[in-house]
Amino acid sequence: MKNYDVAVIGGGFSGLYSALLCAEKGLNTVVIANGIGKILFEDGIIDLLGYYDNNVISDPLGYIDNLPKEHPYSKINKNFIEKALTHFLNFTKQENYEYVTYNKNVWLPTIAGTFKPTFLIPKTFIPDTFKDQKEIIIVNFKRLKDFYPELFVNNLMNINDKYRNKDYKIVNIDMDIYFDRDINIVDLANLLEHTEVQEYFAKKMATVIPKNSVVLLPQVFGTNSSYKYYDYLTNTLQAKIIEIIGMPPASSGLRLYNLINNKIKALGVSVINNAKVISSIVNDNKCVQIKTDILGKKIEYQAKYYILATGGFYGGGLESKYPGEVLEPIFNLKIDKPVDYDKWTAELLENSPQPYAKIGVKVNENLQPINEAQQVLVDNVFVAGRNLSGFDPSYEKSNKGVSLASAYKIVSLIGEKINGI
Amino acid sequence: MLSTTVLIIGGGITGVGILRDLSMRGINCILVEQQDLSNGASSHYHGLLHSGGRYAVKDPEAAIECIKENMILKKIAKYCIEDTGGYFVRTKLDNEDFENKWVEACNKTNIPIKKIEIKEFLKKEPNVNGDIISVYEIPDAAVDGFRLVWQNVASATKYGGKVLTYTKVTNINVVNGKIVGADVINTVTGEKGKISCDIIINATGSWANKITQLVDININIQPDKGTLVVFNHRICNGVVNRLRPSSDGDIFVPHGTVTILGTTSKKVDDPEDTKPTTEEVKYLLSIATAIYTNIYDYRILRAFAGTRPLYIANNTEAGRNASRGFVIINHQDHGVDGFYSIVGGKLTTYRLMAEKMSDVICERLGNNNKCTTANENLIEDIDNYLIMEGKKVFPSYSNELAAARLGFDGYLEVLNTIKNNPDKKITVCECENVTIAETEYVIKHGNIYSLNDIRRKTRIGMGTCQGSYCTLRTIGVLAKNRIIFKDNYKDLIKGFIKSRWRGIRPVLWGTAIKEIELTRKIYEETLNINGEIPYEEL
Amino acid sequence: MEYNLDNCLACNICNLNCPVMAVHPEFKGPKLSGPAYERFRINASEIDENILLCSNCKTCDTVCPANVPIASLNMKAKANYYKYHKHSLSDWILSNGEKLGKFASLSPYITNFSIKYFKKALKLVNISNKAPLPKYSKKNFYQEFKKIKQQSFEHKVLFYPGCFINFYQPEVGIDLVKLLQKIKIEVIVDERFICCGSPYVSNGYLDIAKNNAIHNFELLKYWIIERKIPVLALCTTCSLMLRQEYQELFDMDEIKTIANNIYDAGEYLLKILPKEIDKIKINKQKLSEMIYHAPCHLKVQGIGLPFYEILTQIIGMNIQNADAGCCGISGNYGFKDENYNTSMKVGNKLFDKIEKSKADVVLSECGTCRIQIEHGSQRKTEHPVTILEKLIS
Repeated sequence: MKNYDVAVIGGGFSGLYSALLCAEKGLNTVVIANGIGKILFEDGIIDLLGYYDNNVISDPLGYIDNLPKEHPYSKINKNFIEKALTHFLNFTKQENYEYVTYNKNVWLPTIAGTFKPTFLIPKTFIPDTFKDQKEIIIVNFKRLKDFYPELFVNNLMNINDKYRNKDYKIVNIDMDIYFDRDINIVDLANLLEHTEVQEYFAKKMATVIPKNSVVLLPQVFGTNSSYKYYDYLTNTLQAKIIEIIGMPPASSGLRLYNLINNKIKALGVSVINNAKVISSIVNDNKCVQIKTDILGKKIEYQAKYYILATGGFYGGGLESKYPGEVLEPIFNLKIDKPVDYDKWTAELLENSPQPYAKIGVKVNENLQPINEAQQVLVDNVFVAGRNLSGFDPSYEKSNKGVSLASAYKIVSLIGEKINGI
Repeated sequence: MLSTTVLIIGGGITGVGILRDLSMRGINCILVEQQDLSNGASSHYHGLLHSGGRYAVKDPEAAIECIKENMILKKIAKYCIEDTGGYFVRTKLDNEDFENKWVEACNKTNIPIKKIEIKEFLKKEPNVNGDIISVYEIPDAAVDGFRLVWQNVASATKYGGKVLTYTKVTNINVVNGKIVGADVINTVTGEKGKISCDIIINATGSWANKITQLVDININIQPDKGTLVVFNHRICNGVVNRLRPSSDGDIFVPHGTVTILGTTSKKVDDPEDTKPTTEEVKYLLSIATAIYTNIYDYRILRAFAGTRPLYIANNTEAGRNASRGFVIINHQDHGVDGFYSIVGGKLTTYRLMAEKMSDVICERLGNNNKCTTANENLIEDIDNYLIMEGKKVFPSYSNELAAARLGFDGYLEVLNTIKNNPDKKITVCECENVTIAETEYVIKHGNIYSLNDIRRKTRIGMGTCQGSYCTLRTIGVLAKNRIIFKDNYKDLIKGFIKSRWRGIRPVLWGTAIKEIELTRKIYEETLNINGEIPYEEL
Repeated sequence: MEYNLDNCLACNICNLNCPVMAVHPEFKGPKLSGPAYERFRINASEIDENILLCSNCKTCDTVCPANVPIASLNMKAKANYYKYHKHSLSDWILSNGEKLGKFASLSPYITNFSIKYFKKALKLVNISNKAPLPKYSKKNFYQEFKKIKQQSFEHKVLFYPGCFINFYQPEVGIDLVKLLQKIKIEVIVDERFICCGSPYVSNGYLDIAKNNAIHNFELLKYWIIERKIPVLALCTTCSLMLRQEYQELFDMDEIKTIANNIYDAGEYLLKILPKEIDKIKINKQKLSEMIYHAPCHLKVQGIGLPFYEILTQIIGMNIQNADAGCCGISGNYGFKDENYNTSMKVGNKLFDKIEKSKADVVLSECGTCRIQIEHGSQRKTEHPVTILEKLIS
């Protein structure tokens, strides 16, 4: 049986980031992943907290004290949240892919002509100049699917006079790419990893982008975590280029995934793919083994600590086969179900959270699973990310923030327990 | 001010059937519908083209009508019908005596049934795993209610018939006890209008009483709600019926890429009470386990409900009963001459209902033309050569489906669009394989006021992802073509996603939760479509 | 029902990771080809030829967060395609590796000679004349195995060589026998086993593959249940097929009961070596700089990278993991004339990485991966068992 310091169950953002933190502390770590989560589906930005209780939040760190105690941020504590954010910024800087923060929510334009609040962003998303610039150039590509500049402009113009009076120019670039299937933004991003394509694009842009313009375009700056081409193009054109939030899946998500995935492998973390953990053995409140089962092949893993980062309902971390039933299938942990099934849903898109979305594993301040009597169910298991109860990331815009902060706190606690590191 | 001979109120299958029949006989008519066509029972049911098997025992006359009409529709409406064939299946829970009665009744009514070996049945329907005692083959089929309505309209339009959607009747004008016309309002623009006519036919289904009340007449229409469940893929290849006295949850109908299980029955007050509940869904699934024991393993996309109009005849009612299935009421008996209501019936026999109603009208008008609706196809056959051409340009597996949806003219136009502009081949809806070209065609040819109107015509948003991607894509196409609706684009997106949510809410377990999380991830988390923006900050 | 098309959420993550889609401008990709089109195919009278572009590398299965058996859906669709279309001669030739191997065994020199000098003829049968067709070995594995005098031990394993090792690289199989003998394990072989069927699957002969499966299953049951002896395979496609794909493709659920005793040889060694580690002497010798390539068919088994782990964690060698996706050959996909270019484009990232590394030798458990890598990167390749055998005494 394989023996590790930490076994991370789940290969999404919570799992991978936990593994990164463990590896940095020199802990012998394994990631057991069923799929690769939803990190490719989301943009590579870190949402901290955009909305709560019908409030529009500008200072998410400041707002944390207002959150109820059921919210994961309250359990994690502002201190750890700040440290987690700092760690992320340092990590990306060290990997030459530094993220930017303004210490308050930054509002990014989306292809639907709306704005979305987030906290940490890659350089390619910085929207500063967009706000005040009168002339905006939007670059579209011929035969590209899922990019709608007309929709973008139309909805923006409905916002207020400032946006109505901007000068929007839509420019169509023909990259001479002909597929016999639909071409997506990530296809373009992949192509733009090649030098010949990069040169071609630069040439085409030079003919249509005047100096000092502000240019918005889809997320085409590659699928690897590097600003090299972005910097080159920005300097050559002497223009301000901004990538827009668009229809998932997102190239920026793929870049973040590649960044973290490559780093943890370089740090010696074992990653087991296509392996679903289906059960565990717990003796005296301590987990001694977890087991994967792939069509009858059973493999056991043993670790001192386990991080349950299995992604909530979406990732299979929580199961509901029948109406109203919710199970955490690996450890059979206690579920926090705030309401009965008939109240699970509310009107959609009405600026309120969905009750079912707040369902999750009941945990204490240390993110250890507990029962109703507040007793820890399994000493050496910690719960990270979407599995946690008490928050609705789609409404709040708090998805990666909770993942990041919970991963950070958990690994800090584990580090302390193992040789006080 | 519009002027016509016959005003038909109600754009369901009955109404458009009458529009077609009368138009083919050379009578001027206009049809008005308060929302989009086939808004009522015609599109909110299981999509079964009856063979009559379900009525053989209890209502043999209706059964005979069904099997006759079944054969006719398979000929004239072949692009709306998938001739899947069907079965009647008796399970261990079902009464043996009834089986004998049923076989006898089918033979009496000339419904062609054939008993087959269970082994043979299971080869054709490998997913069935309940305790099956006997199986009969029967010529049931699946029919697309939306398409049937629209193709009747296409035919009627050729003969001069007119349709006005989103047009609601607010007043019926009677002078000296005779119909002279109606007041209408466009429910989208608010514009008011008048239509003058000699005859009004009330073909509004569950709303029939609301219309007759405009002239203070009451007819006993009892709306009855039926809930149905849509499964993500074809669980059965043919229609599967329970061989027992007709009851709830008896029917599985394969429908294109999905399966529909129905239905329930509950009396409601309002014909627009079409909210499906989890209790109803659980009830349907519990019945289904007799045939598919592992029914909970199959993914449910959504639940939906419609109200069927049950007509309770008054003993003093002097209405003419063309058949026990439906009733034609001449409101001359209530003091309004030229006003008729046609109530009851079923989609399978719509053509016959329309024929009877049109006969009455023609007799009144002294028009000697006979009904020819059974002899002419709804739409022109699509040349096989054209289908072969289409195969080269339409996305995989979508060619014939698009042809059936669009009909000859539409298919030709979309085909040429894609040939001349390959960009238009891009799919807007990947789950149901709908191209930009088709979407633009549907938008261009009018009567589109919302994304749901587009959905009904193209199946966008009706597949696996329930609108997760195609909502934004469709709006993108609208924006690109600078098509403006009453609502702005953001509200259109919200409206469509919310309408899909309506059907997902009652079935929120299993994969449905994962899918809605994905939808919310796109529209709430990524695009923040409904979030308040602090514009001071921007 | 655990793995089924209903699970698909249309998240597109499979598309983002499909190696063929990344280089081929026509392939519709796993999401559409698999679960999306399957909803139409249930009722369709024709199968779109686009499905032939799927290489069955199973990367989509590995990354899918919802357990959709995408590649198996594709292979089933491919088989259905051939219900309406004739197979090409290359389909037949490449599927019947075992039959042809037996024929070639009669005179391997002549066969190799013919293949080498009649490359033009290959084109006539749709096989690429640029692709690195392997050479038949003078004697096949079963013949070589008979020459070995093994020490008898209580601890026994059944070794399933698979067609590649049997006909092309029997020395790899012999290396495993030598290694196992060193750690006091006796190797049994059973010539009644036949080709696992994987080449038939990728070329659309699902029915033939199923017959092979049924035949092999009886023997697997015999060895595992009756004789209580585990079955080992060195080729990761074989172990995948025997243990996983027989279930996914042919609904042979009974395999689940014996799946735990069907091993990738590295997986088995990883299980027992740590216990024996004190008794084993490691022969730390100067070996060339090495880099490891994980076969796609290993990654999808969910057992990690056992040979790599043994060499790096237990033995403590410094071997880089190329971690560069698919090599492109995917069984015999890359041998077909129409797929050769795609296959080389797919493998380009890997070849580049090997080029940039200082490695002289590339390790990989899959036979066809090895020949593709030799072809694309001009480096020598070895099965990790060969290295392990050298290191352990």
